[in-house]
Amino acid sequence: MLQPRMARLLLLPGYALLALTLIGPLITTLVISLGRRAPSGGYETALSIENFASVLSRSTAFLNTVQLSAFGAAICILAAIPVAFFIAKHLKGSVRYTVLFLVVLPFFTSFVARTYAWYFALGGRGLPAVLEWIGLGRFRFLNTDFAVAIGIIYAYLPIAILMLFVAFDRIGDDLLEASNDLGRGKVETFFSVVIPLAMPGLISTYSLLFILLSGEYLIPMLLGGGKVYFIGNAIVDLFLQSRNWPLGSAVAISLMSMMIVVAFLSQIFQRMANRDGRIG
Amino acid sequence: MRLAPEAEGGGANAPDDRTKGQRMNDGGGTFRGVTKKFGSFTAVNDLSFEIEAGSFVSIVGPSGCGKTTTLRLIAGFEFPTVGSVFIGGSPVERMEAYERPINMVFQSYALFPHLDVFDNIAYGLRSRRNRRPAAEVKARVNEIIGKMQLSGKEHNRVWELSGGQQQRVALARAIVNNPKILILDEPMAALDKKLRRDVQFELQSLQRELGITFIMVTHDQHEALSLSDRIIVMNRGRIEQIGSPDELYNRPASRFVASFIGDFNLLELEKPAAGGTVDVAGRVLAVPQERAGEGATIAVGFRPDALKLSAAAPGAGGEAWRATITNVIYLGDKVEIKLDCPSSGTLLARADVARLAERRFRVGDTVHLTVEDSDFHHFTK
Repeated sequence: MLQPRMARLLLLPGYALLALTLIGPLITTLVISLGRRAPSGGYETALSIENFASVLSRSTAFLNTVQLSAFGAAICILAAIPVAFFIAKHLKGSVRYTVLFLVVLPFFTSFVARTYAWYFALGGRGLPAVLEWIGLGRFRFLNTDFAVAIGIIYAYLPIAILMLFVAFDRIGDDLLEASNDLGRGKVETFFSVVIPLAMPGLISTYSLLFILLSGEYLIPMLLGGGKVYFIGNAIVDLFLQSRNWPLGSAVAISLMSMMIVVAFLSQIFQRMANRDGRIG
Repeated sequence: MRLAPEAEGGGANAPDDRTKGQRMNDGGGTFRGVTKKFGSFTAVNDLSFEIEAGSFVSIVGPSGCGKTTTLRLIAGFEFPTVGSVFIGGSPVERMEAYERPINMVFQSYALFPHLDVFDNIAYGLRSRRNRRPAAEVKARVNEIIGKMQLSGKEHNRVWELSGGQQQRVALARAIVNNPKILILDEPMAALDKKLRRDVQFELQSLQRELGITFIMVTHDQHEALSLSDRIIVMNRGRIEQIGSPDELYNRPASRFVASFIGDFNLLELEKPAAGGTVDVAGRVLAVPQERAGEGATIAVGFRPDALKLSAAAPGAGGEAWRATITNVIYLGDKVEIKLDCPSSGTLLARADVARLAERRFRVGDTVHLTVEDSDFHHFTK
């Protein structure tokens, strides 16, 4: 056993790294958000909360973000549920782990490269060209909500599948058989046993996806082409285009607060679901 | 079996016979040539047997003998590769578990952790298939809660209950649906020893009271012997013997059954005896009539209680072997004595303490062994 003093000493480098890379920038951001834009751009010392009042000028970005995150997370979960359930309850042994490996396989390619692939696939010479050639008419996918939704689902579906796999895997086969034995078929069993018992997992998956999605920047930029404007894009523009660091920081802090609220609500809901479902 | 009630109709006892026949049709089970393979592994091999309605039947055997697969074939969690399964005269082998009039008590109990005791028990009565009116559900569940001594626990979470209470919830959840057959998968496995005996008595009374067929799987032969009307002994996917506890104990059909049901001193013969007699360590035994047609005797043996020990060489009439006592185990009313016999290896003797009162056997003593000819079992398999 290590002496407590020694143990604390060993924790120091970790804390130092955390302070340097997370807490430090966070405080810097907070300080900047309370400052004023210098005439030539950047930051000038001040102490006011008017930047937070101006955050509302970016309410479209907020609304877009919340809508597409909420929608994207929901679609990801709905698409992931059958896949995750199938892997967890119908595949056995090595097949199961091969399929799980295939699910995470896209992560072996760079996220940017994968999003660019969609950029070309949905672009003028991609899918629309094919559809027109078949004679289905003219379509435009790029720079629409649809393209952003596709990109989001594609990027975050594997995470949803993995998390839901864990949630479903923990439900014993004997419970499903007991439900079957007591006169309930597969569908009825799914809704009366699987969903209630997986509820904590469903909630945590949904909130994680929501948080990850609301921080998204690359997908709306590439596939939404400025038409679908996320908070991430707003922050980048504020810092790099209009060089309004204080407002950018205020928007960033607001986004983070929103995520914290979501995480907090998720905790509460999970605890409520747990109280009903033992699992945990 | 199906035609029995009609065939018996008209006589003075017709109503009684009809009820009995009806029950036979209702809750009997039949396996006809059932084989179940998992890939290249044959879990159950050409199984045929009948289970009488309203009886308590145990399926016993060592782990991996196919007893659990057999049970899952009855419940509908597995489907036969070949063969037919009948419940109450109708074929069910293609029916899903939720369509069969059978309920099961799982080894793990498999209670739903998100539901309280009441909702667990009401689960079957609220299924889309068998939905009953709310008032009826309430009445039936409450009645069974009373019967199973769970009053006051209705709204407890199931994981707050003790092991014994959880088992009673599992039982209640199954029998509230009035199944034709109740299946019990190793019902005592999770209970401590003292509770086990109480539960055994309770199960027996419950079965008599409900009159429904109980099929229990267990690896514990004592449990099977004490509870069942009939026992199916399985080994390596096949049936070794079906019989009453008394038949299995006193007339085991094979070496396996003899050793599995109760203790047994088995003496393998060096070469199979094809003639009418068997030579066992210098002692000549006549092969009994009922074994004569079965082929060569490959082993003989006897129960521990058939083995008598004496310090002096027996007089004329009793053939004796000599052995050394290696262990003396005092069991309260009985004593078990383990012996090392040069001609037959390790043997076990069991005797009433009262009968041994005048003689004290000690470890290391050399004794003479006596077994009556009629106490020998002969085995051809």
